[in-house]
Amino acid sequence: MYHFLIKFIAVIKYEQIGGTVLKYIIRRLLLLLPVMLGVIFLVFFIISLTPGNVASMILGDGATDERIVELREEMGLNDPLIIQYGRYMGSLLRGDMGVSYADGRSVAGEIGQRFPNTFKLTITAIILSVLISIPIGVISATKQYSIFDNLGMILALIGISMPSFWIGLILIIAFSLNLGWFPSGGMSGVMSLILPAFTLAIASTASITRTTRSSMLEVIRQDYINTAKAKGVSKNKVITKHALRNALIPAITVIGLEFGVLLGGAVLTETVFSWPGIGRLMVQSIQRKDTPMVLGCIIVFTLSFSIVNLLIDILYAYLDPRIKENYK
Amino acid sequence: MKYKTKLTVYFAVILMCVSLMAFAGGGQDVQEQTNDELTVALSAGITSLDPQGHNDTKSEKVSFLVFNRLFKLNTDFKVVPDLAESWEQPSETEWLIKIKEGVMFHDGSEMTAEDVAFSLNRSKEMPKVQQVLSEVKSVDVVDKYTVKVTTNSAFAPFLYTLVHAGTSILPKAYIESGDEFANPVGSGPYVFTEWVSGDKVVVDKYDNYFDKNNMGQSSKITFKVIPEGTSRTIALETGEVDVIAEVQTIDKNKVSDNGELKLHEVPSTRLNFFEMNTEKAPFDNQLVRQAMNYAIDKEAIIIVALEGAGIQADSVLAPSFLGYKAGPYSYNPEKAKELFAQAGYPDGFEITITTSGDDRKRMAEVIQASLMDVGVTASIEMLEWGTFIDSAINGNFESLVLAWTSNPDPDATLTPRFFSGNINGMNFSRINDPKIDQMLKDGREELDLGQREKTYNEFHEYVMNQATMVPLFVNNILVGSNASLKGVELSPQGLWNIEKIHF
Repeated sequence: MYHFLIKFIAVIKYEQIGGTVLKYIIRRLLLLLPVMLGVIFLVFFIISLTPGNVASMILGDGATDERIVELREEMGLNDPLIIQYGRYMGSLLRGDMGVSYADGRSVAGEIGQRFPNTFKLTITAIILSVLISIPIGVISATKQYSIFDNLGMILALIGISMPSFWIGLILIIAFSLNLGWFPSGGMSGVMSLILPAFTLAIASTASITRTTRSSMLEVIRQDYINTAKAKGVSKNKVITKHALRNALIPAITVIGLEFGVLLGGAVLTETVFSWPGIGRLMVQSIQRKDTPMVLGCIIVFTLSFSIVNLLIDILYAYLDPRIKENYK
Repeated sequence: MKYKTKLTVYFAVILMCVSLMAFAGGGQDVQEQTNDELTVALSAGITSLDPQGHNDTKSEKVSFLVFNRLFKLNTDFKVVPDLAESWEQPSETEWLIKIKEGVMFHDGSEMTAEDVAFSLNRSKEMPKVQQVLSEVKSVDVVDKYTVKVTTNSAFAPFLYTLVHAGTSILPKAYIESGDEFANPVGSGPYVFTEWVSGDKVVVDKYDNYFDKNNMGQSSKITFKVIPEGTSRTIALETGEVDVIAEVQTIDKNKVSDNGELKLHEVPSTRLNFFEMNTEKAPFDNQLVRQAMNYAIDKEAIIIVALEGAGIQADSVLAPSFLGYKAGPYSYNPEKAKELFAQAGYPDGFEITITTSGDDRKRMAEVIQASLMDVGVTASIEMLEWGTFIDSAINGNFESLVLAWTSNPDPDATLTPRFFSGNINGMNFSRINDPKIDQMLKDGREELDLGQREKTYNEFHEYVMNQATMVPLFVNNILVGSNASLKGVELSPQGLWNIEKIHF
């Protein structure tokens, strides 16, 4: 994530709009604070509404009632919810995300181990889908209703409709079990990344392709495209220089959203491929009513989603100078 | 042109960053597995490396390899000594246990009675396992290799409590070093090497292990987490893992039909039952409860809900337990109708079956169909798990479908489930019977094995006559392995003695 930020700031400086955009970035980052507070507040209270007794869950079967009451007292679970919330926020602001109720391990440490795995998977999946979807979308639009277009759109429809756990299993059966090209799961080097990344990429490829195609179709009907063609600009140049740049804006919005969502962990794909990512961690923690771990995951999820969106907004400015004007 | 070049450069830079980030750290650990190493798939990750910091069967598998206990269970559920050399009882409440000399921890220090006393005392303090030794009053060091354990009262299951992972012996010096189990030190046949959360745990063979007859057979064991059942089976088929500790029932035939694989099957200690609330009509009537035992078709449940991977249950425990005796019932709808009429319900009645989860829902549906044949209309109420358990504990149900996995000593199940003091606890049927309470007490305190067996025999007979539940079935444990593996053993608690498995 950091690399991206550096890269974008470099681009912005190069374009000599650094001052305004930098201010914009800082403003957006500050705006993140109330968002985070709101999200943590909501999640904290929603978890507290779910049934189940944390103390008896920690102690397991056969725990005495006295011990359960004692532990509840020790953990401060008998205090009013608002006090518990205050206590959590207090330590969070000091940078302490607490320890897991379920296994006593540090939340920050656990997430620190899991999030990079999710990041690896997500970034590979997004790159894959961008590399596939943008060209298909552009060609589909420029050759509307051709065989290529129809085929592309049918594939996109299939990609969007198929559930990821099913695709995952089919890929495993085909490429691991029958062909033996890739490992069937786990995280052991580059080869183990390919099948899960591809599985994740399929759904996002489908939606990015469809968005690129429709916005491209809209743009190539604009007057300025006709003008460019009339001036004798070559067809390729019209498409890549005049049309694509404008058509990319909606596509990038979709890419950003997909990216953000995937960073929150793709539970089904992670489960099918035994990938130790943050999605599985979060679902497991919700089942165990492990409040500190759930909150930790939600914080990371919200942060990464917001930062990706911020990057997308900055990318808009890079693609469309008119949007840049709005940042001032 | 300028734009095009910029775009290309831009993509190239991102691609480079990404490849660097994505593949950094990857690639170097492409597994070159020799035949000397073993990979075992688990359905969930371990929760703690501290043997006293968890109470689950996944973490237990790792704890059993890295640590030792004073006693262990063999595959027939009998207690056999592990670290213990000899033991005697100076009085009903006192146990003198002498440990083997020359047991070396992985850090090279020798185990002494000091470590044993420290570990057992620590176990009583650790939240997850404090209930295991709750009957232990004190643990004292007698000499370098002997400890004296005093129990609150005569307590027959004592040796069984010492087989629990929570009573593992830890080096006192290590715990006091404050390492917090980042690099746990035990005395077991394997040394901890690596734990990648949610992915794998790796242990290496310990060459200096004290028990030369039970040395680790593979040089390295990797436990891989594969949560999805189908993916687990495929990993076994592709050879990425050598053993899967849980084969999902629908893959049973896939494994057994494959010549390169082997399916191991054994009844577990997990009893599934239909429990009746004895405080609520019509189940406050013993005849009705007995009739229910004739009315439910257990074979149908095993086929529908379990794909046949189980055995019919006939009493309140699985058959592998001390003093087990099957109840007098068999599937007989006519007999059930007769009893219902005798109990004053000639036209049947309506009940609600409360449960949670898909498997149990299927079981409840088969029960519903069985009951329809004898004139009982059952409706099924599905609850979220936490709410379900709360209702079960608080008696807010008429009947429920649930399962219970038992620890090896019968008392560990029977007291929570039938003692009147555990109403509003695990005594879901809320049976309150002084005779049951007395029999439970006798069973706990009877130190003579033969007499104890007799007590439990009578208990089974009496409690099945009270008919607080309809025992449905005991799940089979399904373990899949590579057919060329040797030493795969199962106990009613699943894959056992993993240190003995090798190619």
